[in-house]
Amino acid sequence: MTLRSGLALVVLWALAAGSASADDKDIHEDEVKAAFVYNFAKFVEWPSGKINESINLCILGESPLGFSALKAIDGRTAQDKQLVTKLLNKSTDLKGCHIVFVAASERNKMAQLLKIAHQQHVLTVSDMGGFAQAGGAIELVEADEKMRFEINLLAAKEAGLVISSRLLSLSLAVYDENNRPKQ
Amino acid sequence: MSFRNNSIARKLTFIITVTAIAVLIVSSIVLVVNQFYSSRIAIAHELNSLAGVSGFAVAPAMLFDDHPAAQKTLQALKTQPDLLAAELYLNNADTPFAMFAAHENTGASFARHNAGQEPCGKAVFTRQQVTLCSQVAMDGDILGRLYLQTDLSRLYQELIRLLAIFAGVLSIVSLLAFFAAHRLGTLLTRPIRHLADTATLISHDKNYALRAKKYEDDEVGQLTESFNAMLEQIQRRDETINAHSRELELLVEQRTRSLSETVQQLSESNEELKDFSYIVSHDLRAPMINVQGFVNELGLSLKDLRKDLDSVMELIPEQKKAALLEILDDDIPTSTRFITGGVVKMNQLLTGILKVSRVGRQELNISTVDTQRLVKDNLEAIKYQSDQARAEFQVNPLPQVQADPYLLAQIFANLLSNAVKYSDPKRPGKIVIGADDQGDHFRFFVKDNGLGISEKDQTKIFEMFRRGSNHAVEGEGVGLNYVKLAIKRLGGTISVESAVGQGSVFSFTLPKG
Repeated sequence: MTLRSGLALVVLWALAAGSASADDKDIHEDEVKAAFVYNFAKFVEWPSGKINESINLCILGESPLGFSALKAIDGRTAQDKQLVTKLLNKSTDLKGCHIVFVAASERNKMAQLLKIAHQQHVLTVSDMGGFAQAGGAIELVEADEKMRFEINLLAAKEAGLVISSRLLSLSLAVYDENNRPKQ
Repeated sequence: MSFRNNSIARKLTFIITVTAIAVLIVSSIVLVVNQFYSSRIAIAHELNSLAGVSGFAVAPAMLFDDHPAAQKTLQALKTQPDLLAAELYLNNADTPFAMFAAHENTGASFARHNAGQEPCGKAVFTRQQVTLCSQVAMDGDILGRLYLQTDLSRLYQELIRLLAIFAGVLSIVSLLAFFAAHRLGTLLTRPIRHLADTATLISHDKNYALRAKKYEDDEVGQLTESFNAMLEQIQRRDETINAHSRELELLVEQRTRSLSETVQQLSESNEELKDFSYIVSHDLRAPMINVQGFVNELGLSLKDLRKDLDSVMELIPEQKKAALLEILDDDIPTSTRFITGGVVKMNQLLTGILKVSRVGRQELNISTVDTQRLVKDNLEAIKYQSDQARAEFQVNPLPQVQADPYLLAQIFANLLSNAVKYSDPKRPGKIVIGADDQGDHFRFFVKDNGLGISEKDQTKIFEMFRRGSNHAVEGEGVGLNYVKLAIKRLGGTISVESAVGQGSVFSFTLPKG
């Protein structure tokens, strides 16, 4: 079941990468974003003891990820753990979250949110512009009509997370001690 | 030259060299084949590792649909020396997600394989390349396939290099093996060759004092020892035989010398004897004739005396007259008769001796003799005696021979008259004369059914003055001795077969030449 849905996802990607039309792109953009978030889970190492049974993906704010996009990644496996998606109401309560997708609607509370997230060792992901530069761990960026991402290693470090170099190598930009985000 | 007739050294050289070459060739082939397959396995293994590493490296790019990143990852493969091409496909895609080609013309398309979802994971070898399909997976999800194609020409180059090395080694080892085997063969067969040479020399020169040299204490050494021991025996035997034959030669020489002396003496005395017997018989005849003549004279004188006595008979007293007449008419004539008989007998003996001694002295007068005719004449001559003896003759066809006619006539005369003389008075005589052709000589025989000769007498009858025990028949005792000598003079031999009361067969040979 998991494998089959994975295959389906890859098929969707192939379509998106190859001969995807503008309409297709609108329909599937949130699904691509959801898949990216799911894939991030494969390259991130949480502090030991943080993850028990599943990797919990928390959605905060008015998410651009539609129901079907979330449904496609819910229950899938990353690092031998099931990915479980949760919708959060209160931004301050990140308990039980391992990854938090921050919607653009939460821009105002971002500083406080990031602080809490880093304390709780939660990977922060968002598609809002300047997220990584603002101290978010991973920001989804659209470049050349393709979905890409930027990584703020300092933020990840602050959260006690280790991001695989394999992921870093695909990143459009990596912010660290040598390349500090311009705030 | 066929292999069988080559020397042992050559055979050894050949066998060792061929074995070395064969071992080398077979092991070379095995090694090369092994190298080929293990290289293929190694290449497949390497390719598998490379695919694993590459797949691992490229997987995130696939996950995040990062085509340039994937392309970059694959470009890193250019450090792989033999890699011809690499193509990365997403599941079921018929265009590569990323690809790499070592050269412009080495690009390959595996779209068909990928689209067909053919079995993946095994290296497929063709003559020039090997192609490996490897699944790229991440966290249990299969993301796609990575195709890698490697050029095999380096494998073949290595095999060719290996073969070249083996060929070089082979030629060197063959040469070494040949020389080593040649040396070894020569060394090994030297004692055998020496032995063979010695044997040849010995059989050629008959020199049994030679010995083969023993080289080593192996089988050939044992053979050499046995050979030498045998030579020792032969030499000893040879010496013994030589000593014996030397002794024998000496003995023969001695015997020959003494024999020739004896022969010389014998012939001398024989000559003397012949001269003596001739002289004796010849010289004795004159006194004998005198005796005969004077005995006759004595008879005449006696007759005169008787006549004169008759005229004065009245004057002699009667009793003296009878005694006187008895002396004159009986005693004296009886004595003279005995003397005459003795003289006649003596004369006969002398004639016999003369005859016999003449046989050796007379010149031979060889001419063609018709023996048929000769026998016929002889039978005519003894017709009276044979008629008296009631003897009947059977003359078989007889040949012409080259001989002295006088001697031959004498021989037949003696044999025929003997046959008649010694016929058995109790039965009519039957005498057969014949001859056989025996190749280089004729054999004549005279066969009778007369009294026969006892075995004891058969050896004596040919000697002079020796007669058989049958003294009832008259004879001078020289006939057969004469016959024997005459036949010997003509180059033949005489023999007799006889049984008392049954008859005798006298046969003699005459050479044809």
